[in-house]
Parts: sequence; C-alpha cells; structure tokens
Amino acid sequence: MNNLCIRFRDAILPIAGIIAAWQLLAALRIVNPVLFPSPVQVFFAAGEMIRSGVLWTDALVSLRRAATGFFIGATLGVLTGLLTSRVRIFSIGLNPLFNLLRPIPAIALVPVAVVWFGIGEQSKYFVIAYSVFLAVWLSTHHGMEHVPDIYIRAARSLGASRGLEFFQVVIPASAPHIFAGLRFGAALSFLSLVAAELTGASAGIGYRLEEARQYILVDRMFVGLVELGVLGATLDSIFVWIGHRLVHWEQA
Amino acid sequence: MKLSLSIGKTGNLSGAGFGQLFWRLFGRLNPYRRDNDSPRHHPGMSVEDKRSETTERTPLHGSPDERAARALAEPGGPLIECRALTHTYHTRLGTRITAIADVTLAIDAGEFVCLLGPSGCGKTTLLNMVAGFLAPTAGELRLDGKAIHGPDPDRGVVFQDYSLFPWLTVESNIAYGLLMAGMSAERRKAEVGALLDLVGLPHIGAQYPFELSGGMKQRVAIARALATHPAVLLMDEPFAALDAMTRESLQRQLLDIWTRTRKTILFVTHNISEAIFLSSRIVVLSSRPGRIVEDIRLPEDSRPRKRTSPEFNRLYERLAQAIGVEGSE
Ligand SMILES: Nc1ncnc2c1ncn2[C@@H]1O[C@H](COP(=O)(O)OP(=O)(O)OP(=O)(O)O)[C@@H](O)[C@H]1O
Ligand SMILES: [Mg+2]
Repeated sequence: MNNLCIRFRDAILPIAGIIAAWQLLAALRIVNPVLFPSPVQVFFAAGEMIRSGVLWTDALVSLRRAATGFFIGATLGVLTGLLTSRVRIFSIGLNPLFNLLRPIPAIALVPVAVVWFGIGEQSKYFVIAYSVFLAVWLSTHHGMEHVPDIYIRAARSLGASRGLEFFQVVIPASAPHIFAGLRFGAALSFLSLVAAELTGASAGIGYRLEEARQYILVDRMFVGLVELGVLGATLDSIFVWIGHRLVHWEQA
Repeated sequence: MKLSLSIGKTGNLSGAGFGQLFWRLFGRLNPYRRDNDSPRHHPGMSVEDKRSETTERTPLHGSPDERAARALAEPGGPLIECRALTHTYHTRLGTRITAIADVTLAIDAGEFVCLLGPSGCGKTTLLNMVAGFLAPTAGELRLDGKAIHGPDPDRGVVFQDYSLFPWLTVESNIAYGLLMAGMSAERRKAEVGALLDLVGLPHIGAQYPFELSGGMKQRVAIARALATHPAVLLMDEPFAALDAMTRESLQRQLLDIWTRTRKTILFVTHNISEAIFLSSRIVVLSSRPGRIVEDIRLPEDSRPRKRTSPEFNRLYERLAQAIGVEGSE
C-alpha cells in the first residue's frame, strides 16, 4: 500500500507540476491565448469533444489502425528477421534493400500508399506496418546474429542439434533484442499513425489535429497532442510491464 | 537482496511467473522433442555406452563413474590423443597466428591434467579443439581411438565465462543435456538431484543463474557438464573470475568430485598453485606458438598438497621458471 502511494506520488506529482507551470505561463499572457491555450481551456475543449463523442471514436479508430499496422509489421518483421539471420541467401538478398528503406520516413510513403491502396484503412495499415516492420526486422536480425557463441557451444556440447539449438538457444537468447524491437515498433506505430492520418482520413487523432488546424482551434489540437502522449506512454508502459516478465532474466 | 532470492526460489507467480511459464512451454513446443527412455535414442551416450546399448547407465551417486573405472580396467590406447596438433588463426587483416604448434600429447582415462601456460599461449585453442569447437589446421586428434568431429556430449565443457542459459532455471540448465538425450522427466529429476548434491548445492534447483554468485554458477556449470556422463571434462580456467577464497574452496570441491567420479579432466589454467594443487599431471605450454615444454606427473600420495610444503614450493619454482624462461624468448 505504501509502495502504491509512492508510485502514485512519483507518477502524479511531476505531471501536476507541469500542468501548474503551464497554467502559470498561460496566465502571464505572454503569448496570445488563442495560439497557446491554458490547461483549463484544453480541459474544456476535451470536455466538449467527449460530449460529442469524437474523443472516444478518434481514439478507438486510431488505436485500431496502430494495432493492426503494428501486428502486421511486427509479425512480418520477426519472421523476416528469423530468415535473414539464419539463411544466408535471404540476408544477401534482403539486407541491402531494408537498409536502403530504413532512412525513408513513414510520412514520405503516405502519397504512395494513397495511390496504391486508396484513402481507406489499408493505406494507413500499410504506412504503419512499414515503419514497424523495419524496426522489428532490424532488432530481430541483429539479436539473432549476435547470440553469444558460448551459449551455442554449450548447447552443442550438450547434444543439441541445429534445429533444437534454434528453438532452445537462439530464440530465448535473442528474445531481449526482439522484445526491445517490438517496444520501439509500438512507439513507431504511433508516430507513423499521425503521418498516415493527416491525409485521406475522416476520423482518428491525426485527422482531428488536421481538422483543428483548418479552423485554427489550438485548444483542440492540444487535446489531440495530450491524447497521443497519454496513449503512447500507456502503451509503452504496458510493453515494459510485459517485457519485465517475459525476459525476466535481463533486468536482474 | 538475499531476501528476494529466497522469494524467487519458491517461485512467485505475481512477479516473473508468466514469463517463466512462457519459456517453459516454449521449450516444450519444439517439433524435435523426444521424451522416452529407450537407450537407442541417447545421442548423449558416451562412446562405450554406444558399443553396448543394453548397459544400464548408473547415476552419479558417490561411487566412481562406471565408465572411467572400466576404461582404467581394460588398458587400451590413451583416452585423448593429440598428434602433431597445430592450429593457425587467419585474422581479418590477413595475418596468420599460429596459436598451437606441433603438440603431441596422450591423456589416459582417469587423469587430471592441467594445461599450464602464460596468457595467450594457446591453452583455450587447444581445449577448444578437443571440445570440437575448432578444427585442427594440421595433426590428429582422437578420443578413445576415434577422430574428433565437432562437439559431442562425450566431452563435457566448463567455460571460462559464465555459460549457463540465463532463461532456464538451475534445474533445467543441468537437465539440458539429459533432455537432449531423450531422458524421461522423472529420471532427469533424479539425476539433477544427485548432481546438485555432488556439487554441494542441493537447494537451488528452482533458482535462476542471475540469482547465484559466481562460484555457484561455475559449480552448476560443472554439474551441467557432468550430467551427460562425458568421458572427459574440459575446463577452461573455470575459476579465474572468482575471488581467492571461493577459488580455493571450489578447487577442493573439484578434487573431491574427481576422486569420487574418477572423471578424466583436462583443466586449463595460468595459475601455478592451482595446477599443483589439482593435477595428477601438469603439461606446460610455451608462449606463442604454444609448444609443450614440460610434462610432469605428480605422485598421488602427495595429496592433499599443502601450499606451504617445501615440495609444493620446489615444484612452483620449477614451473615458474618453465613458463618464465620460455615466455621471455
Ligand atoms: N579468433 C581468433 N582470431 C585470431 N587470433 C586468435 C583468435 N583466438 C585466439 N587468437 C590468438 O591465439 C593465441 C592463443 O589464444 P588462446 O585464447 O588460445 O590463449 P590462452 O592461452 O587461452 O590465453 P588466456 O590465458 O589469456 O585465456 C593468442 O595469442 C591470440 O591472439
Ligand atoms: Mg583462454
């Protein structure tokens, strides 16, 4: 219980401090309040968005896009990582391609995605899956390539065949890397989500940001930003929570 | 810290429980798993066991290892035979480093041989060739008359660095070779229990390697290497990373294990005292390229060898000179 109090204090107090400082800054009216709304204004804007229902629908629509894109990208990323790290032909053929793709940001892919898949959901999935895929592939590939030799040798001298060694040594030994890649991929799915929603969407947090820009409703923009921040941070802490338990030997 | 260790031992499901369960299930989810007791499916059997498949394998409890005893009883060739063994590394810069040159060495079953030499003289290289991790550049290498091709459970290896699988419990680490050999769960459990007793750690089976001290880790590593009843135990400076006190206690324990199992041991060290205390035979290698410069057999009746005795010191001086003189060339 005491522990919980400490955690609550550590989580809530800094945020309360930030909001107070923000309110103070806004109250000083150094900047036009229309351009830099106070927390109270943002709070009321959020209340209005909740009442009209757009806040929830946007969050749900965006989360579904992020989750679907993440799922596709992560699955393909892990599988391709397994292939390129274990089968030489795949790494020779695919690594240069992926390394060329990696510097291309997700937002640069949006026009292509819209032409290829239209303005429906598919183009969003594609953009998100693309950026998740590259991050997950890279960490899977790297983790599997750098499994400490000593584990492989130990397993071999204990009678493990190559197939067994893959399942029982290579995968668990690279699990921390793969998991770090998945966590990074989850963060990327949010970053690319906004890029994907800025064009050709009719709902979603990114779309709402763009809509607010057209009417210069900065308080509504801030609601979107806060929403993204809260969702992203929650998602990340879920990944940390799972990671602590799944690769439990790493944190010790 | 100590407190959390004992909690971890009983397995708290609120903590890392689901991860542990995941990896336990994952370990079972492999398509290659066999779970039966038929001796025909024991790839981990030693050379002799393969010869007579019907022989029942005795667990390790106390009594000297059956195989070592048999090997001693029927004098054939040596157990390990190196003839004109050479290994040359090709570095990325295109240079060649001959780490081991022209080593001829015969080790009999039951011997405790220490490979002693200065750092970088090729001790690990030689041991890795016997383990099957490296192929000789030239020369021959035989175990029980058969050429060595790659690693095999008939040679147990204890590494210089910690090599326990961090995602497995101590129990599962020790049982790994037995699982690979297709031994049933009950028999694995019995063997693991006996092995943990042998290394003097009867109560840590459910813990994870990260919860253990360095000395405990190496003792578990020894248990894991002994589990498959290897014909030889290969040890590469297993105690080098430990503090002096732990090191001495582990040396005594290893000696105890050796006298109880009569396992053939090839032990690499650059610590002269350690070599004198442990070995029945000390092979000194010169610095690069490693060549045998001394091959000393120590009388068994001099055990336990006191570090303060004059014989100990005389031998120490002689070995120090052998290493030093060759090292400065
Ligand atoms: N992978 C490698 N590539 C190139 N040279 C190597 C490699 N491994 C070892 N060597 C060289 O071979 C020589 C022998 O190395 P080895 O590791 O066998 O020595 P060692 O006797 O075990 O030393 P130490 O006591 O420090 O562990 C060293 O001089 C080293 O530089
Ligand atoms: Mg070495």
